[in-house]
Amino acid sequence: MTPTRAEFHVLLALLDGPRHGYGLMQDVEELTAGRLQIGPGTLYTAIKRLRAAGLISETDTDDERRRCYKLTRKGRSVAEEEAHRLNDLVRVARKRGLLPSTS
Amino acid sequence: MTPERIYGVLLHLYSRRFREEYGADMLAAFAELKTRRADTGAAFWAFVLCDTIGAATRERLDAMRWLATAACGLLVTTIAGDAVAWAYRYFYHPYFEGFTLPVLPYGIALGLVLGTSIAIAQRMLFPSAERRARHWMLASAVALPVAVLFCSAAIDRVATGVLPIANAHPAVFEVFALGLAQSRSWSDLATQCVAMAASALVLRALLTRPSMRSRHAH
Repeated sequence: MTPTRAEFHVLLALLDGPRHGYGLMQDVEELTAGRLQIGPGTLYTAIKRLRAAGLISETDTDDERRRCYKLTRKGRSVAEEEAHRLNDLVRVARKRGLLPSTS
Repeated sequence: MTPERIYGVLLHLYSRRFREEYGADMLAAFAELKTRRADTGAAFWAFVLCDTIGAATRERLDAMRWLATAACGLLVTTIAGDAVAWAYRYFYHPYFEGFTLPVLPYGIALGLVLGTSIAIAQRMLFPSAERRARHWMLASAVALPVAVLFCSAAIDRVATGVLPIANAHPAVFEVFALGLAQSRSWSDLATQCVAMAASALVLRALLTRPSMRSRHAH
């Protein structure tokens, strides 16, 4: 499964540990320095797809009012794969002069 | 009307199943978002509306994948049934006059085609965790009766126009409902339906068994 932009950000946010819905929304906003803001609709449709694909799962929490989600092993490997894909793309962009060279 | 109530109304844009699963969490996330945002004016509501409409549309389309699966199964089965009927008429010879295809094996063959095409479409459209779910049943429930009734319809019309010999052959409804099988009654049609359903279900059971094993292994 190739995650969408919002799904990939949810996976990235979960690398730090389990989160509940609003916590994920905040993390995504922080990770992208406010460039990507996801609302409850985008977040929970992403959660539904990620759960169905077995990339995240529900986890126990002290707070009974809200559900927390954690990354599964498969979710971690899909996130790694996507990160490598994006890294390769950035390398190509650099090679073609679209981005400044790091050296 | 409070903002939470307005958002509660907006949640009705999602399917009932999705609402039941995530509605309460979404409402809680919305309440927190509203509390922590300094600006809850027009820009905030524009953001919430865009998010809700976009996500609800995607979710509705996502929930319709079983219909796409049914359409794939239906299309492939119709083409297969039509191809057999068309080939029979194209290569027609008086020698075949007394030749009939029994209803039961014809139904079983179509059921296998239908089951396989639905399974392949499902493999492409659904993640593994959802493949075993009720989507297969929903897809079959739509594709099965329609496939039986419309098998041979599309190519029959083309063949009637292109191939003069087709004009001398059975009326459209007979080819429609019964394809090559030379059955003449509703009980034959029912037999064909039952044979299709049974073979498609057996195939489904065989195809889903390995994934069940892998689930238990985890």
